[in-house]
Amino acid sequence: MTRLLTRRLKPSRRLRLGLLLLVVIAVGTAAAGPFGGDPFRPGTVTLQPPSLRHPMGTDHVGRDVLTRVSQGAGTSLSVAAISALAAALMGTAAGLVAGYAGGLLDEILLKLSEVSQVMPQFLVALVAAAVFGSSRLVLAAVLATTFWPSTARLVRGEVLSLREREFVEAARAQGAGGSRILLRHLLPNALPVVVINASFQAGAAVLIEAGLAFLGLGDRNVVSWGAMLADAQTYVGIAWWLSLFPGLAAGVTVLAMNLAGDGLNEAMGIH
Amino acid sequence: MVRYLARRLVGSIVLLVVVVALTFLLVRLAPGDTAVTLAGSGGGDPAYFALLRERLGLNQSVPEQLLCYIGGVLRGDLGFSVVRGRPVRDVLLERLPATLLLVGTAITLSTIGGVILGVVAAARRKTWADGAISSCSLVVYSLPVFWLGQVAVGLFAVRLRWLPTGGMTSITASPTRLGRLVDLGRHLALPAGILGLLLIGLIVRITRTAMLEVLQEDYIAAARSRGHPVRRVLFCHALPNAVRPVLTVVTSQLGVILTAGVLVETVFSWPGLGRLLLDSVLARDNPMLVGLLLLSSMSLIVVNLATDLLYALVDPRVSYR
Repeated sequence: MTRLLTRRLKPSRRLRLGLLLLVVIAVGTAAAGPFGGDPFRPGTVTLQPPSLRHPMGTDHVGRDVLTRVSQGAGTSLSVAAISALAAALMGTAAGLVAGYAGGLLDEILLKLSEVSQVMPQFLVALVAAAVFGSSRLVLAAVLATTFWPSTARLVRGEVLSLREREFVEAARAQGAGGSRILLRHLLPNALPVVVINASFQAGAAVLIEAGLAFLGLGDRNVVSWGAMLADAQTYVGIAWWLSLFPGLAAGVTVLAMNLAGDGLNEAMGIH
Repeated sequence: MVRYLARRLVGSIVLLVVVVALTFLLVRLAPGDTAVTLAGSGGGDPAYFALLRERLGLNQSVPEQLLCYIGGVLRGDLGFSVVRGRPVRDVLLERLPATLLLVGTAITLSTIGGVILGVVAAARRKTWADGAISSCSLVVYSLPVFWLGQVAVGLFAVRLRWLPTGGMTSITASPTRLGRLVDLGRHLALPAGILGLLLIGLIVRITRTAMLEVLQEDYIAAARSRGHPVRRVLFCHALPNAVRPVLTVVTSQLGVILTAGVLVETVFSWPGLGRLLLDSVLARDNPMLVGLLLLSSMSLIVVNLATDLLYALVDPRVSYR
């Protein structure tokens, strides 16, 4: 399957840049675990501009901004990874079955994706955070629920166009059963669309998580870029570093995910 | 045509009812009780709680409440906000103009700018101009919109003092009509500009892709070979055929635009629906929350329906069955 993916890849600068950025962010986050201090421990020097000891300065209670930014990445990436992965799994399964079997299942899937299109994800996540509390897992679950119909719809489209092709016909003529055709012949061909969609959804998840935390509806037990930006709002014009670094971190992360999605699109020649 | 119209209308109403039901159930699943929130949890006369529950319709079963609510929505009644002591619809209508002004300005500006930039990028494909426009639009589209707002406030309002930090009007503005208009424009500039920036990123990307597709068609080469000037071919021959995908994507991204609107309104204390949404979340004003989610879904459904119908009317290639 990996061979199938790599064989069709044309070299793409965007893809390489996106993946490189993601690796840098991931390594930075992993390194922050053992080496970084406690992101919640207050210090004695408050609102200090960037210096050698605190490369991104300190905040209004003297906490090190660099430590908090790198630990915020963990929050963002975990929400993004869990929600995008769960949506990809659910969406692929539903799309494969609905596209192949058709009928009532297909009708239900189409209606569901129509519903999810008219309910803005952020607003649903916001109301859900207000209703069920704002833990990271709840947010990831809500996002996965709102993300999967679009994945399913894309996979369904791929399956519909592949279903009647000769190689599927040939497999059927050789006596392959429905599940074998789905898993061995249709799934590998539908996979690129799923990966591309998942990387855009991961980017959207990062923005939604940050947005909710900015509005004070994020998980309070972990560091979040959005919450850092909400704190920085009070010191706009006094302490630029409080606002600059978490915002840049979020922007670069989302950019990396969008670049990866764009690059994959380009590399596989999919419109 | 009439059958198509009827089918789409019925489909939209069914969709709306499903959305109402989902939204209502989502909020009803909440732990906690509006009666307790209102009367305080410190105990009190059980008879008072019973009275409150009956007034709020909380003693009915959930399906009964849902049917009641759907019936109300179809009649244009969105329920009563106990927190604000007013009908939900009245509060929404009061806040709507501010949001429409902000979102409308942003959409208008960004559509004009985004389409022009997108056409330029497509026409100069694989040159430095295309590279710059495409990269910038991707970057802008990826940045958190509330962060851009924060940076803009810090720079233009706090440091340079060119524009106000937030709100919609100031009491120091001159009371003449022109003075009020200028004041409104000064307050509108930053939020609308930030929201528009995000949209431009989106529109440039779509316009460029759509134009690249159209520019490969034979009739474009034919128009060029007849000696029409390049600019005329781009804007008069190619662009009209690229408008449809652009419109489709912009309307399908209206949810993203509304979302960005909520965050921008919060940063700039713009007195619209976004600010109302946040206040309602904090105050656990469930009827208002359901009403807001519903209003956004309704506007998405209406806009989608309207664009589809518009295509069917204007574009002879669209078949309506």
